Amino acid sequence: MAAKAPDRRRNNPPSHGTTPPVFLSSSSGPVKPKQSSRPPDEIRKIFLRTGLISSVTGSSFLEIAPLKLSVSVLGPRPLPRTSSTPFAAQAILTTEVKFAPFASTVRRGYIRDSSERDLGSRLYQALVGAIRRELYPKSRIEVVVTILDSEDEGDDVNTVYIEEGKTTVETKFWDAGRSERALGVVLAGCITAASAALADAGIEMFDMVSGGVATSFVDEVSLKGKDRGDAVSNKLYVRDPAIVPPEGKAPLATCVLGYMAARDEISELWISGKVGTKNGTAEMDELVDEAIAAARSARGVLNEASKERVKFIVDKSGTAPPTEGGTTDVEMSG
Amino acid sequence: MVSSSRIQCKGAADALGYCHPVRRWWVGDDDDDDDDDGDGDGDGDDEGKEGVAVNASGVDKSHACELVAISPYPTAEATWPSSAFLLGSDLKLKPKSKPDVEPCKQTTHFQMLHFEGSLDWVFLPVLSTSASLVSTKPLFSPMSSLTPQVDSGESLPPPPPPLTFSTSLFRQISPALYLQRHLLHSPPTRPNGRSPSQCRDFTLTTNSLSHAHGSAVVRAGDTAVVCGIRGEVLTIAPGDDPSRFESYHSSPTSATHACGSRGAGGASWGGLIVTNVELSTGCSKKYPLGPPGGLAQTLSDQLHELVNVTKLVSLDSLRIYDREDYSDVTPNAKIKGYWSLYIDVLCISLDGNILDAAWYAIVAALKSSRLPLASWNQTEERVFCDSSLYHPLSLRRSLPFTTTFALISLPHSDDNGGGTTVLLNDPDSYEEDEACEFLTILSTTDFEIVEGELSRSPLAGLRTRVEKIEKRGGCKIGLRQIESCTHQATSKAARYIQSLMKEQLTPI
Repeated sequence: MAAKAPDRRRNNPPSHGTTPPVFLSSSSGPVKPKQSSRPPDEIRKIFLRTGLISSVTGSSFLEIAPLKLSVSVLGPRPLPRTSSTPFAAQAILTTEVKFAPFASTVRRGYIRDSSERDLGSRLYQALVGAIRRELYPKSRIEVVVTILDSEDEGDDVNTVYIEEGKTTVETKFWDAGRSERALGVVLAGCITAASAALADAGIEMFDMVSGGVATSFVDEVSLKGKDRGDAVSNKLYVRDPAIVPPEGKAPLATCVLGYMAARDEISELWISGKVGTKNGTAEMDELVDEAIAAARSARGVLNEASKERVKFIVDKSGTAPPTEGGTTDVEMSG
Repeated sequence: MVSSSRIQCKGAADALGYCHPVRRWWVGDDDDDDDDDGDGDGDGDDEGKEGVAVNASGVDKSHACELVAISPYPTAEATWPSSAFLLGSDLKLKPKSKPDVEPCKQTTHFQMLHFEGSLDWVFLPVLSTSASLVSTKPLFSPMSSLTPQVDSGESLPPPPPPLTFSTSLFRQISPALYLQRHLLHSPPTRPNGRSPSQCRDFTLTTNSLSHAHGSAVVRAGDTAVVCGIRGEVLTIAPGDDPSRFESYHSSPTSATHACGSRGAGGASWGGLIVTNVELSTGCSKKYPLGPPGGLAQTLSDQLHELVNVTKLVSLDSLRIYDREDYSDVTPNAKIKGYWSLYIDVLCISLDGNILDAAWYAIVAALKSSRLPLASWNQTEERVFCDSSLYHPLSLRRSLPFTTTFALISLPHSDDNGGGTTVLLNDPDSYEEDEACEFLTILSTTDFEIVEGELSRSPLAGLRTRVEKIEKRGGCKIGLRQIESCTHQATSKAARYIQSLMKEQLTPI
């Protein structure tokens, strides 16, 4: 950190460089993380509200357990009139995802890192097909996601465990699918919240996209055997998985998707991990179906949030539901 | 854009008698510009002969703009024959060197000027100095002046009926006037319905984030900020002298101070607390995405400065000693490291007065921070933290609070008998756009509890001490106004302390 050139636009940390706190746990091993009592086919409760930011066209705030994120939609607004701007017959969509520096266990930098850019491009893929961009020529729509808090990386990644009588320091390594699961939950939340914000902005879409995520787990014992992943029978699919795997289970694969429920279309699909091919695409289909089911559940929340917002606007404006266009013409006399 | 060093901007609105949001530029043509004339002969000759007040001067030769000529506007400028008057905010002038630039004369009385580029500006007819045109009425309304008036006097067309706009349109096209009309009303009311001394209601939530050591969310009206604090450990290298972390600021002669905190990171106490503000979160239409712009940098710096100047955090709670037992810190305990605090303020929604909101969030987040107990481990030779024991930060006893006012200058009117300045407490972004400057008061107040009940106002300010007044700009305000501002600051601080008490952060 100290070797980096200082950021001239921000206040910089002391030149010595600082390290994140390292915890010492002399007890016998890590504390067992608490298991959730949620059934595997149930997603966590989603809090979603739109229209909280008055100074932008559309906005939403989403909360799923520890994940908290805020989305604002800027535009559609005209592209800058410079000679380098090409003509755009369709609206140009840009998506940005940024974690707050304090959003995860490892403190994030101010400049977007590769995982944030990756999330941004996936969010773009999920949304770009849903927006009727041809209705907004020569303009741009910006979707900005700020993640304030996440489940990312777990709480005790910096814990050092010292065994009795030994002086070796070992950092615990997490199971392989952990970061995919964490990012998957974040991405699914981003997709759902961004659609809500786009709807709040009044941008025309074919359908609202909702995000869903599912992970397949197998017994840890069977994973250690030689034919890993082949035993389809004992697979456990968890929708909207928490960072802590179920007791005695090891993750196989995680699937995140953006799903348009009314059209039954998938706009973005991201599968990582091991999906067996012995039975053709059956395994993958199962996983995708689980993720779709999770997305359908999220869609219910999305619908409710949009309805709530419309109701709020109607209540505020008085009596009638909003008319076509929503705005009244200004009368100019004289 | 007109960007010559010799072009001055004058408040011409008064002279014109109407108020129009377009900025007016005056190009001064000094008496001593004979040499300029020599340069501008090719263009300037004709005008000179005809006695029309046109001259291509007042601009640096290096800049070489073809200029703008003009008109003594009937009243004051009649004695200033070669002054130039430009109307418009986005003008592009042709380089003087181009031979095809010739002033195109419509009549002897009017001078049209060559401009390139946008036509957003209103053409200003050039008037001769003939006395017949001298009138006290504005000759053109902003919208109807595109056709120069050819005849001087007898056959003036009847003035068009004045344009009227709906309130929302008025608000959009002439914000300054809209605001003035509101404030001149009695009692003065701001467009958002508040009185000038009234601040917005705010809500405060602390420790809602799981990964930060301390956090706060402050929402004041439509401005919402999130502040998160993360502590990291700075270990002192073996040969290092810890005493240089102990002073609040490094000495002015040191290189670290010279390049400021943005430089290599001053190894001073000030360097231990790193404050940054992030505005590129899509918090407002006006603020661009991308790296921090001017406002974000200014704010980061101001808040960084405030944290350091006020000595908000006591150094005691940041030291890490070489002993594990914290019950008795003896003087011979050696300092092995420090906690470095990263204070990050994210603006979620921006509607004015971000400084106050950010400062409140910082104070509340610091108040709610719990750092793990850290100590030096001799065998591992590094600092370890205890995962079960946490300690709060010790802040200074009386907390300082900022209160920001926007200064709006009102024009002359019969009521106030001259231009006055109105101070708006806790401005929103609409008012901020029209404010000529800002006044920020940093004050501390000692309070006592009057009644035990939290719902009413239980606090009474005992003594208010102003720690800092920041006022940049040239508006005049009286001592009395500053005094009333201080009172408002006290009442705002009382409300803030109250909300901190509700969060059970300050036992008074």
